[in-house]
Amino acid sequence: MTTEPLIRVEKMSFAYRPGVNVIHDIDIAIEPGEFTAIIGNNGSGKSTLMKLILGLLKPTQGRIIVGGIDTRTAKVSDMARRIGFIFQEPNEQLFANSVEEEIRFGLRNLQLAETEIEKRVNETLDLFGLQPLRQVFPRFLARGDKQKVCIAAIVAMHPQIILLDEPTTGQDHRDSRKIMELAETLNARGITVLLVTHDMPNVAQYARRVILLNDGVLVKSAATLEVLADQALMQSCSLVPPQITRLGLALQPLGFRPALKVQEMATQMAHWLDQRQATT
Amino acid sequence: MITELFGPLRGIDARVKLAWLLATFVAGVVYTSIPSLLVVLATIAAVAIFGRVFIPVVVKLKGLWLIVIVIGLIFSLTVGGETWFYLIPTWVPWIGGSLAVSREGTILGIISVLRMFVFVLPVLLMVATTSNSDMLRAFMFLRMPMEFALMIVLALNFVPLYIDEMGRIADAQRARAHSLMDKGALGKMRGMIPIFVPLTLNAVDRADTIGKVLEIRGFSRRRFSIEFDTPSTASWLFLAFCGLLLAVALASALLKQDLILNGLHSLAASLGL
Amino acid sequence: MPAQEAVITLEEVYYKYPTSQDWVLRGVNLEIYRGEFLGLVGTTSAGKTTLCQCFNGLIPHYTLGTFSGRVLVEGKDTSESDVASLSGTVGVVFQDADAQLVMSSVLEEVMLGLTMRGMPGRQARDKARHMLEKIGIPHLAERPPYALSGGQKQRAAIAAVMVMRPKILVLDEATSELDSLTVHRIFDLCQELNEQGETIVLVTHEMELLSQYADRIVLFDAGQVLLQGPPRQVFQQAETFQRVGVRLPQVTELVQSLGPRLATETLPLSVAEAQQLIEGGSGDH
Repeated sequence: MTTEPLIRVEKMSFAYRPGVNVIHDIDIAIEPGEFTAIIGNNGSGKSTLMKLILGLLKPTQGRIIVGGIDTRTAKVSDMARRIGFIFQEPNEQLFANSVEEEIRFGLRNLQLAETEIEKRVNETLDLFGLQPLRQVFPRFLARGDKQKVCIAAIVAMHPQIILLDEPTTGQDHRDSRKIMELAETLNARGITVLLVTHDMPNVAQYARRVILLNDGVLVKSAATLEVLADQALMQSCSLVPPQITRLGLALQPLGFRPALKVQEMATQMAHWLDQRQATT
Repeated sequence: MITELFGPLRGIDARVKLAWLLATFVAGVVYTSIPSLLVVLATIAAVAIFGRVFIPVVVKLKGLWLIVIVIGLIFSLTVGGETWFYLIPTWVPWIGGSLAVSREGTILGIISVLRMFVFVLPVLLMVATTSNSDMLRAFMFLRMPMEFALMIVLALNFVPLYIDEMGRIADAQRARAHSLMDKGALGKMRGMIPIFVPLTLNAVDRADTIGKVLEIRGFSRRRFSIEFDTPSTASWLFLAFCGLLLAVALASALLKQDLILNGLHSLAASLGL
Repeated sequence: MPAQEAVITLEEVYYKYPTSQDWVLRGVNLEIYRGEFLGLVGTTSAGKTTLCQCFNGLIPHYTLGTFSGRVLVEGKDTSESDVASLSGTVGVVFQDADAQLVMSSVLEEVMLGLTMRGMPGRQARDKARHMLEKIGIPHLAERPPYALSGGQKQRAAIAAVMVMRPKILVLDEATSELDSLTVHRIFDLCQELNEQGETIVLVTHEMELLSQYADRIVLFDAGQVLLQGPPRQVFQQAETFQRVGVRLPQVTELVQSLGPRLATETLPLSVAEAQQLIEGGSGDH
């Protein structure tokens, strides 16, 4: 048996209105266990692509196969068994009168047995450190915690893939880091993570692969550093690499390598300082 | 949504549009014959065509056909008179021959539907082709207090926004394996809770921000300028047309005869029909 | 740095919402100077939005709650003037773009503030068009706000406030949904206005950009001013920023983390500055 990618996008185009393509003929293969970021400008089609993968929108041309299922014929509520889509705005999802009810909602929709539901609710509350808040009305939580509840509600459904749509928009550094670390933990547990964002430092820090879209065209799909350190390419898509990557590039004549994380650069720099000290 | 249409009618003075609403309303009240009402409707359609909004408005009105059929049926089934035909043919066993449709009822149904269009279409066209500030001015021209005028305008604007948000919320819940349409009436009701709860709570939150925004934009100063731009030639022509329609309708009412129908008859006679 | 004349002064400001148990602002003392470009940073729960609403009198006039202390705008106590008249001086753009766009087209939206002040229709329309041009969305003038993308909505909301030419412009996380190119554009526009004498207060998480543009940064936490000063100076207190949960610009963080090994008095704020520092060989001393 040849290994089939978890998500296969084949010669896919999409138009909201006939003749006006927002996505042009793209091919993507996502393997199980990936942590991949989809980046691009406002209007590049990245959020549309996510909706297509979940089946909320259907391709105008080509097809998308997720875990062997063609999204064109599948129902979204069935796709939701495999894909956990976490929308940007918690206030457009939270409705139950307690955190635990919020988590139970998806599980009930999956028509699991009551004992299984209770087991998963508890597991998830533990995993997310939400036990103390289990009875709280989710709308009263701070924004970061609301987002956490939304992710918990999806993770409880045991999806193979998690799609995060701009999860850190409007969040402060502390909350955004918590959310990204959570995504990293889930990825380490074997869940495939797809992240749509314009937060380049987070892409650099967490994603292993980057898919770059511009005006609905797939411009590049490669390892994170390869994309972010290609300044000409990034600029042509009106994107700015993280400061630390730009610094690494600027210091290449001194023997530095472009880096993705502050820590990487700090290590290089400490090493460089050691060498300089040794020579003087 | 209907509020996004503009076109050439935008340039027509909002007060003239109000005159048009009045004229079409009076005509709708006065005329009771199908041909006359069709003529009035034709003038409305002509205005829509001139404004290049005819097709979009017809497309947006497609949901109205159901109401049209229901109203037509109610009249034709409930108004007594000479039986025209049976909704369930006589050859059907047991229930055959029931639901008699009367000729008078059908005619009354058609007239009611035509009238409804005469009343509703001009309002829709005005809303669709008038900018918010012109609409505000028009309401205030009718001596409506600014608070109420603004409330109506805001309500009109927020409808598409809520429809949009409802779509996003529905998407988010479908992504949680929620199948929106459960079985049975009770199931359907319960299925809407995950959508309407966030929608309502967000609306409450938003109302607060809107209040602040209006404060900031100087709403409480009440210095909104109700001065209109000088009416264009098109506005004057349109006003003349409205005057004509109103005059004909009023004359028909005073003379107690359907002038449009008479006109149609003499036109048909002169053509030798 | 312009002459230090305070346009907004907060004295011992305390505030609590009717629904909140604790004080959201706990004794804020802050001066905002005429013509400065101020960056206000802090976590989402720090109370920055509440603070911004004190600037134009929404607190205490519009929002019910417990208020004490004094806010002076151009020397006038805000509790003695109304929001509408204050909004001629202080313009605030909020984060939620959806709720700020109330009219049926972008142009109407931008015109609203002008017509509410009694400007005749034609003149308001010209002004609004000019503003849309400046902010880069003239093509969206006739579009209804709900048909715009998140970024376009935010720009329309900013234009609607900017067009009223307030002397003090406050953007409360109004760029959070924009991509980097558009954020740059908004920052540039703020700078342009700033150079024309406007006072700018930016609330943002974009530390890298803010440090390039701002004359002064105020770190706000738990309802109080924790640190304030020029970017380079406040960033010296890296531990405070870390404790609060606010990130420094990456290059600043890098140089900070290397500590005394890169002996430098002035922390770099941009890639160019960091490059200069390292190439300049501050390493060997």
